[in-house]
Amino acid sequence: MLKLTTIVHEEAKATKKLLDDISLKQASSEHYDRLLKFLNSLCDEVIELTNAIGLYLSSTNDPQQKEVLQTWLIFGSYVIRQINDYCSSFEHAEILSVPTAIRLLLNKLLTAVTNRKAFIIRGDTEFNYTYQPIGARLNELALQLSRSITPLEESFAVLIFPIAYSKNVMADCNLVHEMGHLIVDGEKLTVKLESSLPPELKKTVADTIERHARNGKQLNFYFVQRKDKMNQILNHWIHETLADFVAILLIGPCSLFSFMKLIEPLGAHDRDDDEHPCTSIRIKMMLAILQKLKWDDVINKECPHVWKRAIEIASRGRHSDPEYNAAAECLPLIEDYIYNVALALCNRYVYAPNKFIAVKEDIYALLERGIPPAEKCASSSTLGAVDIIDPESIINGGWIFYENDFPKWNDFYGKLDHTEKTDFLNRLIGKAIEVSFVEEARNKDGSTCSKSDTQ
Amino acid sequence: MAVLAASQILNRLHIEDPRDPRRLYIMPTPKRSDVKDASIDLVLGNYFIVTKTAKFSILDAGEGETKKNIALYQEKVFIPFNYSLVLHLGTFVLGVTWQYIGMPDDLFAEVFSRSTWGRAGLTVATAVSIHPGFCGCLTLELVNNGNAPLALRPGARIAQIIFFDVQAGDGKPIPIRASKYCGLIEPDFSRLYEECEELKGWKNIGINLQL
Repeated sequence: MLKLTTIVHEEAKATKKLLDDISLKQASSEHYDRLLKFLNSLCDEVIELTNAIGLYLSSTNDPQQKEVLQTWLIFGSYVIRQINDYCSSFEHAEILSVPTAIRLLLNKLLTAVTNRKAFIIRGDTEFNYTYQPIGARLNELALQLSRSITPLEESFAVLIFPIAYSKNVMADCNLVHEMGHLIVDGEKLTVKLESSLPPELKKTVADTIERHARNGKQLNFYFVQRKDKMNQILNHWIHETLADFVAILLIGPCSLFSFMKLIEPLGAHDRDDDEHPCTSIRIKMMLAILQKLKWDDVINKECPHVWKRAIEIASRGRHSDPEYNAAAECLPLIEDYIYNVALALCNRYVYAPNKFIAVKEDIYALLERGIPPAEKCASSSTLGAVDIIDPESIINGGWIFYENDFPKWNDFYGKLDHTEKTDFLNRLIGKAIEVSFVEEARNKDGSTCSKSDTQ
Repeated sequence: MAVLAASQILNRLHIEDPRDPRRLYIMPTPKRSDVKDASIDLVLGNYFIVTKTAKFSILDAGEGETKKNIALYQEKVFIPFNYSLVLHLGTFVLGVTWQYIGMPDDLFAEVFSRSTWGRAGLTVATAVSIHPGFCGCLTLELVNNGNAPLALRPGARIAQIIFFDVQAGDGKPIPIRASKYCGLIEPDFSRLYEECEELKGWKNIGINLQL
């Protein structure tokens, strides 16, 4: 028993050392520090626990008490192992690994729609974008150890991007979808959604699920089990669709473009799973919302081949297990309902096509010249502050420029291959977004120089 | 080559047609206070490369391990606008301008320290020439030649750029590959290793001619 106490104590001390080492790195946000401090407090509690148990054991031989203490030690060790798992959250979360432009954009969007914005962004060697909610789980562990630890925000999350894309600002707009999960979770909508469906829709959904659960057979023992599973799948899919819709509402068509870039290489491997509908369903729903927001005209005018490609993907056949058919049938039926929930979630903050149309020519012209499209071109000849281009338009303009195969760049930068052009474009878009944020702040307290000032 | 006066620089900056090949770009557009009689002040950006000398003996372009040595020698750091990087006596770091410059093909420019910083002991650039057609943020080679450590704060007006007319401009755009450091927005590690092949030729001459 004393041996077990020593082992857990050693584990906790080694973990504490690891956390100390991490704390010496350059943080990327206040939430990075916040999570680190929280894990440190958990670690301290386990160390204190092992100290107290060690002391107690030296003065008692009560076997019943020993059994209780052993359970505590095993729990302490479990907490330490969990802390070690969460330490991966700090890998590639430093300021140089996370694209600054995306960090600024996510902060702006979250500030616009909610006051819950506890998250850290980190890179991972897995080639995917992921949302990892950790607040509730960690708070649960902390509560069992001690009531004196200040809890994390319940919706505290880690947003993960592929570290290979740490310089690919345009592909990283996929993180806005992951941020959508954070917004949905922050509002605890997963639970609310089931109960808030309008009565007639609720009945249609229930009937559809029942029909699929019966599968043409009489009621049997497995019926309830199947029905529950199908309901659960539908709930997850609604959550996923909500995150897709939130991303489209907040940043427009570039969320579709970046999603397509991520999933197109998956080809035939793409199938429904418990958490996500397959790509064809997701793209179909995304196209419907883009049409509702009148983005289809813009995309069809600026890069019609992308719209066509998206329709082709949306009309692909599904190759999935029958247990997903109920959710696949229900999802389009409640599309409008999900859209309205997403709209409410975004606090009616919608990035609309007219905002993009007003600046698109400036963006294209600047990109053609290899200049970050951060300011409107004509504005610099008028008195007063320069007109800054908004980050959402910059990133959408960048995507359209990319999808149109870098117009005019063959004249200027003909020697660059496709990858070099993509890297160059990402640098221009990243720089433009940084300039847009900084100059907007600077414009508030000073004006830029105009031609007429020196004449 | 004639130096451009402030009004001429602004004329170039404010050409309305963004596709006009004579248009000069400084992004973001300079503030009133940044424009001087014949120059524009440039501001320090957030990215730096600091050097670590303990892990190897020498940077030698003629040596096969140069690329690896350069990676060991330099480390990229990000300093937010509300922090500073301390430049100790005799130390060398690479910085970058916050402004992104897009040169037309009939202008040439040079970058110098602002005298305010020069008097404090700071040299901001040794590779001062900016060629026609260049685009990118400018890498600044910062050395503290003074007697006291200097705090370098992103946002500080640290350098000035002076523009010259190039008479022989033929109106054709100059490809980005004209310089190996074009189009960058962060300081780039030295690519001394790219000169290794070139030096091999000289090495062979030495072997063959004993010269």
